[in-house]
Amino acid sequence: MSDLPPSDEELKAAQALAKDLERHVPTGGAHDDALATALMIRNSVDDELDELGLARSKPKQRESMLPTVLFRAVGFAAAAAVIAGISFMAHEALTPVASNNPMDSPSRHPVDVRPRQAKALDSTDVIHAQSAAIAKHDPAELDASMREYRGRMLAALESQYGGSP
Amino acid sequence: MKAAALLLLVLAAPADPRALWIRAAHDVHAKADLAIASGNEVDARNQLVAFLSVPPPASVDETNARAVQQDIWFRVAELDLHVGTPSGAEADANSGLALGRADDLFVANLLIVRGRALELRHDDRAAIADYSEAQRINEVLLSQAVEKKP
Repeated sequence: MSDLPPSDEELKAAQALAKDLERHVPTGGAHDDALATALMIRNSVDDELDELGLARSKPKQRESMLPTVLFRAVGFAAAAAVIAGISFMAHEALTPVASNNPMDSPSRHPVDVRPRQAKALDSTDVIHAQSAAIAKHDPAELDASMREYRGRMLAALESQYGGSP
Repeated sequence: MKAAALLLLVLAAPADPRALWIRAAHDVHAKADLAIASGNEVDARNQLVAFLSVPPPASVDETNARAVQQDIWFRVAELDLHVGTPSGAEADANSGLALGRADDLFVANLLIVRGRALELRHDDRAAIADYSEAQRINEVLLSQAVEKKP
């Protein structure tokens, strides 16, 4: 995979592929190609997530890594243009795997018993929102998810500086 | 008696300017939220920009000052995107990023909102570069978050 910036031709080809995939209605003789590409992406994404050590029992973490993995799986140029179109397909590809895994049983998920203070500046939700914002090319949801984190951050800072939040 | 006098002294002592500045940031976010909720995004933007026009107290830790200001620039840029002025959003994001770079939420947020602005302005290559850099930061943050989890 090259990290070189994509050429205009590559971008156009990737954008066309993205539209085909997004519509689920590939035109002309591209149908098989689109399906093959989708299958390749699906397999690559699963392989990459496995290699990253992200257990299938942690679908949320796997989901949050999707944009990164897509970059690796299909190459920078294609991923950048296609990401919005196929991210839902990759998500769908992961879901059956996760749901068939006994480790995904709700009873196997650890219960977070840490006190709220210990999670005072937990930014996990914002990180997930960032991944979604990158994949969807829309920061609106990110702004909403920042609201809670922002409040906790400012309260912590005010307290740090001797104020009474 | 001594305890009461000490309490009075503490109550009478001027508040730390750093705490006051953070409180002002908290308040301006709240005012912006109210303005947005009532459909007055221009007023929200004005409130946020007015806060940014006053520099933080010099004694505020540089990283903290950058985080607070970049977060507000992010909101301003997002508002500009929302009202359909991507060029303004790009300029806002640039102003925020000019405050400094780090692998943190605030820089990533600014890159994402600038990426969107660039996309809307049909500068796809620059948008890809911003998304890619935001994604790199996001990966760093995710790794850190995963390491912190028990």
